[in-house]
Amino acid sequence: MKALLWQGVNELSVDEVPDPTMRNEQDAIIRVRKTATCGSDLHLLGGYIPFMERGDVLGHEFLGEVVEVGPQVRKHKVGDRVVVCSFVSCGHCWYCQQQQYSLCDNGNTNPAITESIWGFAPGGCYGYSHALGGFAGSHAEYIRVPYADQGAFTVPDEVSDERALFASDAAPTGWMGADLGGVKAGDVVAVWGAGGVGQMAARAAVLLGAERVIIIDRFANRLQMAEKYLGVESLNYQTQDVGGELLERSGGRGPDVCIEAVGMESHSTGPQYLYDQVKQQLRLESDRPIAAREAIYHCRKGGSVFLLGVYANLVDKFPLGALMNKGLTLRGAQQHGHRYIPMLLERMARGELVTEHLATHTMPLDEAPHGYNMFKNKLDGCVRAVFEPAR
Amino acid sequence: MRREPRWHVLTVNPARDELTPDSPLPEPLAGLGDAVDVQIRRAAGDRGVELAVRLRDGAQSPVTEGVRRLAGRDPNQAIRAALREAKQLLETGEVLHPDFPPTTQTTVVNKPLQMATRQGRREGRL
Repeated sequence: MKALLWQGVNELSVDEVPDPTMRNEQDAIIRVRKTATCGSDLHLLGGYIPFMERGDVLGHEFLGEVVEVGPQVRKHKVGDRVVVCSFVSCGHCWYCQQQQYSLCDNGNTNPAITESIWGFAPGGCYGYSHALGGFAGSHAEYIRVPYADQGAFTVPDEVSDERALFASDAAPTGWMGADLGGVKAGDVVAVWGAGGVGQMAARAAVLLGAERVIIIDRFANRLQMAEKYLGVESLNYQTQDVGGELLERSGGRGPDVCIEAVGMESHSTGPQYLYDQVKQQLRLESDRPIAAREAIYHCRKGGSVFLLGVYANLVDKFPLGALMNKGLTLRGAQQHGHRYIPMLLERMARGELVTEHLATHTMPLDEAPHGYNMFKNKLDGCVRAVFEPAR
Repeated sequence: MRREPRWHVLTVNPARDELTPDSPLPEPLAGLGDAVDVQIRRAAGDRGVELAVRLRDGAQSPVTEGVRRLAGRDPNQAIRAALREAKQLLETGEVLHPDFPPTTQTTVVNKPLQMATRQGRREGRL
């Protein structure tokens, strides 16, 4: 089959690889219909997560059709149209039963790597390096889905492929940030990053009853998109004073909940960007936590900060003083999508949650390296490139 | 300095009554036979059952242990793998296998990573 392969740092190709095979009785094989780029793929592409091998298949946000099921798969049959959570979770361990699915004890076939780096191993993730299980990604004609009854969700007839695709990762990740960040009626919420996940977090905050939701980015097209499709306010950090605006729009209190949807390759206009770039390139820190620092700084006293952006390991100049003295609650997680996807599909069916606008560029899988170039460099207003392997 | 073998412990969330302190050892732990001491005990806070395993004898020097580990012949590696697999069998009914056939190629750069992933369940902090 054809697949998009990581060939080295910033080097991709579309090549033939062996078809996936059933390895467990709870597996399914899915024919991929749509598969999306995600900002977190860029950390793999750029070599910031050093657990990739030449030939790894990228991609973790996808939708497709079941073509084969194992004997222990009960919920799905051949022909089902399913969207699959990007995380591989067993559904039976203590963490899964607490609905903390991305922390699954059994979903990662290489637990030693992340145990050594982080203390304990989270679950696995498709196309997300050998640290998270080494599972082949979705930028391919077919993909193996372990624990298919847990991770694959039948898409209601009234929800299009274009909309349901983002129930795989961006929508549940964003929803989790607002939910576990504690957004409640009347809150002022600030979201750093107007990519797919940031936009979904902002929309989730609106649907959870926040009174004002402010999304922050540097790309005018993304901010306009958020205003148009999500019903939120925007701030451009290159042309506006973020701190002053947030104070003004929250009555001088600061946002109740700050959601960071940027991750380890943050940008900014100040000298700290140069500082972090130099340290990151010299491998003196693995991640640039600029947006996380800002979220902590601008959050109100006693407020909540949720990290949705992916971080790999170590950061520098982390504002523990602000965190401690302002009494903040800081949380983060990879997505517990299994917990939210059925509810999100219902909201998509009712039209409360629209996502199609995120797919600014749709193309055949053969053009995926070009799609990643557009996505990485934000060319032609690209928010998400989506690939269709059957095209 | 010789180091006494330590307990390798993990918590299993089995179906009710599937694993008690009086249960026979689950596979593949049973295959370790008399080489190990095993404890099965209720976990605090109703979190399931704790499975603890350690080598019965054979305090090792760190040097010996390190050499065996590199060669993939450290018995602690077998204990870790058996514990992880027993947990998966008890919780999910099967051991999750990595994708096959692989799509990757071996290069000089990724050889260390491939060596590490071959030991994926046999190493770590467990």
